[in-house]
Amino acid sequence: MSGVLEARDLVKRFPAGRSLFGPPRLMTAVDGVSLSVEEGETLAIVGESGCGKSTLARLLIRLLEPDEGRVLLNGRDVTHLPESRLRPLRRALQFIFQDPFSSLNPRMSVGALVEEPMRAHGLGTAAERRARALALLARVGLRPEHAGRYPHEFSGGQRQRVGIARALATGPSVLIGDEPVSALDVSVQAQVINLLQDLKADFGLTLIVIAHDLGVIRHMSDRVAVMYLGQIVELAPARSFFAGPLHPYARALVAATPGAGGGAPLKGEPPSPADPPPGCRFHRRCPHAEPRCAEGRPPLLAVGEGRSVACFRWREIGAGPAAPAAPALTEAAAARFALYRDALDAKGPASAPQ
Amino acid sequence: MNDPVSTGKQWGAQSAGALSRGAGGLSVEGLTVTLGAGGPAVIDAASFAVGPGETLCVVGESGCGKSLTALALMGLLPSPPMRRVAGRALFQGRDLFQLPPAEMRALRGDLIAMIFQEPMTALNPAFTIGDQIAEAARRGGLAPAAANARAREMLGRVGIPDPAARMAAFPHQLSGGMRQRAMIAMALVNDPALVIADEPTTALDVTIQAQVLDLMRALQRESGAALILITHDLGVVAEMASDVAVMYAGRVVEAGPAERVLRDPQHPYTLGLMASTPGLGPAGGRLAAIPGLVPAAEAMPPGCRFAPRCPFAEGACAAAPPPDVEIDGRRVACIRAPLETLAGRAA
Repeated sequence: MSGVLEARDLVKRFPAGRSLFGPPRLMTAVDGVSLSVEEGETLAIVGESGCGKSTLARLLIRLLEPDEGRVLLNGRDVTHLPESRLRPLRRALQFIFQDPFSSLNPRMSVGALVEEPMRAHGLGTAAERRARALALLARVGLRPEHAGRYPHEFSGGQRQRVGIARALATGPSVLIGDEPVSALDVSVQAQVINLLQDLKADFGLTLIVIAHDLGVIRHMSDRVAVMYLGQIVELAPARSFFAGPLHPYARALVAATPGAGGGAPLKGEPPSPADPPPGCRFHRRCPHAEPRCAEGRPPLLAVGEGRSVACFRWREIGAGPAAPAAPALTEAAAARFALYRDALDAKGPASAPQ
Repeated sequence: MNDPVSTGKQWGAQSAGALSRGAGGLSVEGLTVTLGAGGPAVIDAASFAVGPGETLCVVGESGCGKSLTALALMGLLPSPPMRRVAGRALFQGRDLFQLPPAEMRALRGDLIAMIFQEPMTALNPAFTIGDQIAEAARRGGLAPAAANARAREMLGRVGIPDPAARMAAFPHQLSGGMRQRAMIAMALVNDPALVIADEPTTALDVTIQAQVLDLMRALQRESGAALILITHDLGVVAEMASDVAVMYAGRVVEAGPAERVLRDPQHPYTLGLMASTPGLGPAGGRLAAIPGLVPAAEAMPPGCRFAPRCPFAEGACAAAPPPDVEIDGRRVACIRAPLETLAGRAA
């Protein structure tokens, strides 16, 4: 089985400061990651700051060159294609940034911003581009008069809608969102999540979502890849993952979600990627570590049902929920939520901004 | 203005004598803050209370007034343009809002402490954390040597490894989690009776956030301080709160025991907030997002401020601010609550 987008043993190193004498030090942000993104799925890449999730996303769409390994788009090796031959790839893979404001040129009107990628790719005539930009703005829930306004005139949620319209302009097959909703307030975040899910269905998109919020991931994704210090430690269908994560780090991450009531938190902080521990990179914080964990790096092994885990002891640790189930709503509250939903539906689609 | 319905709690009225360390709660009644003289009320008649050893979470989205509420309590409102025009805040028998500025200054960082979201901006980058914590202890009345010893002890209590060595560290030399621990050490160095924490873990990674929340719980258990925790995250509320006040556009729309509010939300905004949060509302299907945006301060709707976004709104909602009603031990500012009684009417 080959996916739309495939990573094979990707490695990316960055210079990490230098000592006054001697060679520059390197830190390995992504360390031997292999992953296949299947057509039409939503794949979430999750992990904490410095785990390499954003670097991995940028490697996948060739915004960064890997130091080792390969990237395949529809089975074709695109790792070393020169920039001049990357146009089809740039059209097919589009990026949504966390903070749309810093990625939108403040001097361009929103209409021009959405037309720009089409112009850059030489798509359509000026009139066609204009019409398509208006159609896309409408599709993401903005009004035609918004096309003449500038980014600063919009709220955070509206700007993210502009960012999404712009990403859709070239007709991509894969959208990669780097924390696409984490800067938004929860009620606006829900609007944008609904919008992304609608667009995915309408345009037959494949979504890759980089996120740290496990609630968002649980809601949106079909598969979850958990990263720790540059490596994937667990890869699993979202449903079975949340029913019982296998890797001790993944279990700790799920249990640490506020409100999960997951008991004693994980000790210590992630080590620096410039100086990772030998063996399993998690062993110094792992409550299940034993001597062999410090010696060899556990490989990411397929363990059945589409799941993979990189832990020597996953069988002994056992699955099961990482945290107790949330307390149930009262019956009256469940009835109230149903009423709320009905009343909202009667007023219009839930992804509408206003 | 709204006459707040009591939740059966009244803290801070006791002990009319000298202010003292240790236990003591806070009652806030009718706090109103306007933007300029006669301007719109950005906090409108907010009332809530927190007892010793308890945690009140003030929850809401950007612009709901939760951080302004904290600043108002600390006497740190940016004024102008903000003006506190009404309200009482009873703490150990005194109204904080009536204290002379010098007395309020003496209370801040001493009996009343604040923890901010971003310790990098709250800590002075030019001084070591040891100096900064010791200085706070000296302000609390300790001699220099005792203050240094106290600072070292606090660093140990907040779980910073090798506290004696870390005394000499500058803020930028610590990780985000360790910086937040240092700030907590500084806030608690004088054993405050009331701690106000504004999004103390929002900037932290989730496993570090869990550590810091755990630490705050443990320290509160030891000290019996009252904690007001300001957050946008209902998960943090579920984790930490004994009581919760849900704010929307400057008003407390629902307040009561946290467990009851989270399991049995009454106000349409509380419902909307929970239904928007993946993993908190009813499972499955689309998120029931709240349509529209929070109103701007200059364009507050005249009646219920949530009415323009509320699927249950009717004519009367836009006419006048809703009075608080008491439902099952909670205050709810909604004339249509309890909503399930609408089902019969609609059918």
